[in-house]
Amino acid sequence: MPMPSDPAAVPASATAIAKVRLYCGLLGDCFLLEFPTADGAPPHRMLIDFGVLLGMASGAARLPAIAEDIHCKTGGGLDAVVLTHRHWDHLCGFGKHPEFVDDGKIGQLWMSWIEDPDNAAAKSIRGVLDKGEETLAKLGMAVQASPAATRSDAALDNILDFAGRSQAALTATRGKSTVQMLEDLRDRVPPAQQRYHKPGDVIPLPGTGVRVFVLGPPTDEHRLRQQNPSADKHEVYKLSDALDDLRALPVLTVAAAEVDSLSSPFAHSAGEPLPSDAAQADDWLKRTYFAPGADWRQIGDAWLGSASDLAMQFDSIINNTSLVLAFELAPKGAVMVFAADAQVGNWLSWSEATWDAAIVAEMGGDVVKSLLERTTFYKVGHHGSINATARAAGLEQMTSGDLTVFIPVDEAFARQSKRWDMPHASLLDRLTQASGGRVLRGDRRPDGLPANSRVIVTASPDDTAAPFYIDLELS
Amino acid sequence: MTTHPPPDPTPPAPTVPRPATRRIKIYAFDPSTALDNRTAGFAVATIQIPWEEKDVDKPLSQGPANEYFEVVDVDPASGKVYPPVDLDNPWLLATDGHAPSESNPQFHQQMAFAVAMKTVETFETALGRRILWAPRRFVDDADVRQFEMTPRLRIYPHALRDENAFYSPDKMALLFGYYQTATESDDEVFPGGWIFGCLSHDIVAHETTHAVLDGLNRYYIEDSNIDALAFHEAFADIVALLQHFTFPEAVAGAIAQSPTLDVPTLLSGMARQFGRASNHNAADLPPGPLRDAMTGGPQSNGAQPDRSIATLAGFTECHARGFVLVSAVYDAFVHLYSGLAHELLALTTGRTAFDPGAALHPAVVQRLTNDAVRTARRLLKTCIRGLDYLPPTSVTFGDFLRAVVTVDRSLFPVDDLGFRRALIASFRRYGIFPAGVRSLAEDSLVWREHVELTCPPLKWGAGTGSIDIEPVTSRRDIFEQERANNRVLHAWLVRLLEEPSEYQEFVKRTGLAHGAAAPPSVKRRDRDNTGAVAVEIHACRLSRLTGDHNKTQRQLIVQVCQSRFGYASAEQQATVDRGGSTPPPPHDFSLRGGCTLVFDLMRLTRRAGQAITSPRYVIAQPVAGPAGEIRLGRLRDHLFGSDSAGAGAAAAYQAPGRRNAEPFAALHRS
Repeated sequence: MPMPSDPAAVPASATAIAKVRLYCGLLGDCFLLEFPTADGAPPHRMLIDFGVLLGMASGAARLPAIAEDIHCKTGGGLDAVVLTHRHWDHLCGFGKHPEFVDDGKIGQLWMSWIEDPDNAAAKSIRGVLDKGEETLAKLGMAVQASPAATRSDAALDNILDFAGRSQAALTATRGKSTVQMLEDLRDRVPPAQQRYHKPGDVIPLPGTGVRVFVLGPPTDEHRLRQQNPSADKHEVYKLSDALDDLRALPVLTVAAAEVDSLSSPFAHSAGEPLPSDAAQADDWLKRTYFAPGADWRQIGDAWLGSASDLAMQFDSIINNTSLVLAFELAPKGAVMVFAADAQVGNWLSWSEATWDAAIVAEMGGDVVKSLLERTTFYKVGHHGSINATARAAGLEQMTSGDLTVFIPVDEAFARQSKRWDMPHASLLDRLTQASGGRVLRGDRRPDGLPANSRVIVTASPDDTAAPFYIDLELS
Repeated sequence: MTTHPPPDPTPPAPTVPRPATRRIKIYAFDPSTALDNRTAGFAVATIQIPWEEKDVDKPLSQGPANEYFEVVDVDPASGKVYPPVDLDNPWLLATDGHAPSESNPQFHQQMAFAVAMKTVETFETALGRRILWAPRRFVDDADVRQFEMTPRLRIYPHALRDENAFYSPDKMALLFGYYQTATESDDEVFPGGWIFGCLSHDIVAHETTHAVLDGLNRYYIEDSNIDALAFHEAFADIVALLQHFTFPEAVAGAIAQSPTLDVPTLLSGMARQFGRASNHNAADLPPGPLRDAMTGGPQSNGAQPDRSIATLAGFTECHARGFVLVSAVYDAFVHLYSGLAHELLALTTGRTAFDPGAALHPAVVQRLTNDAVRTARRLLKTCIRGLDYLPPTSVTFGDFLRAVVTVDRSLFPVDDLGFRRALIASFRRYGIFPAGVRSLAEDSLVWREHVELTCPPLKWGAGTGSIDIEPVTSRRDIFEQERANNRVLHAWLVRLLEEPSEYQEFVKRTGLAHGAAAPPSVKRRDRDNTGAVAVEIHACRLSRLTGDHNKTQRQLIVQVCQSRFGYASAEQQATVDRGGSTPPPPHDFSLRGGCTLVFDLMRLTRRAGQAITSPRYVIAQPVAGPAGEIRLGRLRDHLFGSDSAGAGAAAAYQAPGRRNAEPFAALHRS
């Protein structure tokens, strides 16, 4: 499918209407987009991500039906498959249910510039990410093999799950990690049809009048590392320092413990094995560490603090590599923003992208502002987490008055099984305000929401708490 | 445990006096000094802590455990628990505890405990009262907020396999880490060896100080201005560094090498071994202590010290900023001490400069050591006493200088030793300037002293509704006394703010927001935030200090807090403050303030049960009014400004500046 060389050359005639199918019941992303073509040919079809968080059984159970539904709706062919970033909850469906599309029927594969095999800067970043994943996976195994009473750290499990390296993940895919699934998907598309996008790219969808503006991921390392709030050094240091952090990770010495007795701080005769609970403890421990009512003072997994911090850092960097796309349905018309899992640094980088001069002129000087002002649909970043929707640089600029938002979340699962704050309360409040109450969620039927003529919402006719899908029609 | 000889009726048993102290061996600095020929002579110190009997109510003498601490040596990372040392074991009583050893976990327990106790003693001596740990606040099963005394701080000597150590307010514990050094060799760090945080005097003293400060004021750990967290860090370093001077042998050793102590020495460096090994791991930092007060940063080995002064204005990062304060205090010490040293030099040699090659006469070293020890002790006391004269929240370094100068002047009216002059000069050299004073002269810096500031009568003495100022000794009784006094003061303040009538002047001085004039964003007592303004009493402590001319001070220190809801957008703030929304929308941050009241109990006019006094100092930190608006704007800039640490948070929908789960864990990791 050849691309027009001049991004500004858009056929202005098409009355762009978009149909979006938001698959629900997932703590994960999967969206099927359809743009009708002007000449009555089959619509332009795109799939953005296909995944669910590892360990979410109810979501995983939906994947086969979703794959079938995609195949059925598209006839087994997609003009483009978009993989926003290498996280399990965005791509495991591609690996586990390759039948969502027929072989040879993927027109293009879109990924971010970070996955570009020929880009040197991207290679070095991927090097750090691969190394980090490797190290953390080893760490995970060391932890599992360690004798500690409390050997599991939720944050660490999470990163291993994301990277697809935990035991559970390897079982689920017969040994395939996230990166391997990414490669499998890439192998299904000839190199000439692989597209690696960077901020500032504008891609017209042939025959539709739709233009896709690439907003993220940032090309600046500092932005990639910027995730949130804290004043920790990882915000100001370079990405390569992450490798130093890995080297310094003292906990790795645990792995060597099996072979080397010097890797324990005292002679083996010092001390007794730490019992896992009060029942096996001696009197002194029963009166102190395991004293009734004093469990709040136990230190269980505090020793993993730095490792899990590091895990969270890597997780966050990968979120920031999200390919963020804004679909402009018609010149000066409505815009849909798919923010994947972009965190603060990704959002803040949008205004730093360089755009074609003609586009800047057309957009009145500020491309991002113009797109956000016209946004009528926003796919909320990172399942509604605290740091994945920018305030001033994002939501506060979405002032069209016709905004509808979708949060791909299962709140009960996120809170109860993962103890994640999703969706974050104050963000949800603001989303509700900004959209006039039109907040769609993956875990609710969209009943009783205020209607809006520019974004028409219908849910699949089933009787589950979370519908199978929600359909949108945008004009 | 007093072990009397077995009763023998014939000769009357001689009475054995109860020991005043218990002697415990520690590494004066850390294990690295014991292997260095230059320092081995004073690598080990024996310190004395108050003798405590084994008590039937406290069956936990093993650990060690006493009234203040309990050492629980579980090591989840290695899956081990190390049996507790029993310091009452007769053999250990005879040998001042275990001999210093890196490979004996019982010695680790003993050292962490002893240094923590020593640090507590430093504070108690300076403050003239016993210290309490922060109370535990939690919500019980019935969903009721509880507030409970924490009698003992817990010490975990081997909690983490990490180059880290921290005070955990959530667990009311000190967590020390240990780690293995890199395998490349270094002249001081044994490759592949183990480094233990709990064997570093500085690290233990530093973490204990965090816990003491948190017990004094729980708002000091909020990121409420650029100096607030830095102050916590800096103060912990100041205590650790100046405590070096309680080891006379080490001081003498350093003086023999550098009589005026104006170059980096063992005494001026923080956590030498820990720093060396971790800097080595980080590869691009020079080997040296974690920080050195004489160079302002990691010390490069053998290189000429960098005495070019880094002033405060140049730093925004918490540790760097904090270390400017540490350097300023240490600089004051060096000035005070080297003045004395030069005096002695002139007396003994008739010359004005030390001859670098010549060895000093041992008697001169002895005299200089005494001078250094006394100067450091007095300086540390002064710094600690300043804590009582700080505003109730968000401390700045300038506030600290004013507090220190005020308390020192009230105890020692004549600055004949030049302590205040030296401190002021050093703070000026390091660019630490208090806000809102006309000059750096001593009388401009002291908090304004009130002689006749009429406040509503407070009843002192026994009985309900009175403030109980009877000295009590047990920490449990002190806790209960403070709790009862809190209630009395709270009722008194609430009544005053509701009806200031004839006490307008006093209320104005306190700067407390009150009445209908208070902006709607000031926190009220009711859920709708429309009623009376909320006030909290955060501290009411009795202290007793003695200064020159037998100047005894008995004071009641009261810290009053108020909160104001802050919004990231100034427009939203203005809307709320115009009364635009009731109740106010969820806020993005809290501005805290209030006032510190210092009542001088020596000036109580005695009329049976009706004694009346008025506060001597009123240190106001308003949340409203012109000063409050300025503070609010500054805090907003600090948290949400483009350069701030909170900028990332502010860019999303998250309120920064909230207390996170382990505030010191991340702080120390960076």
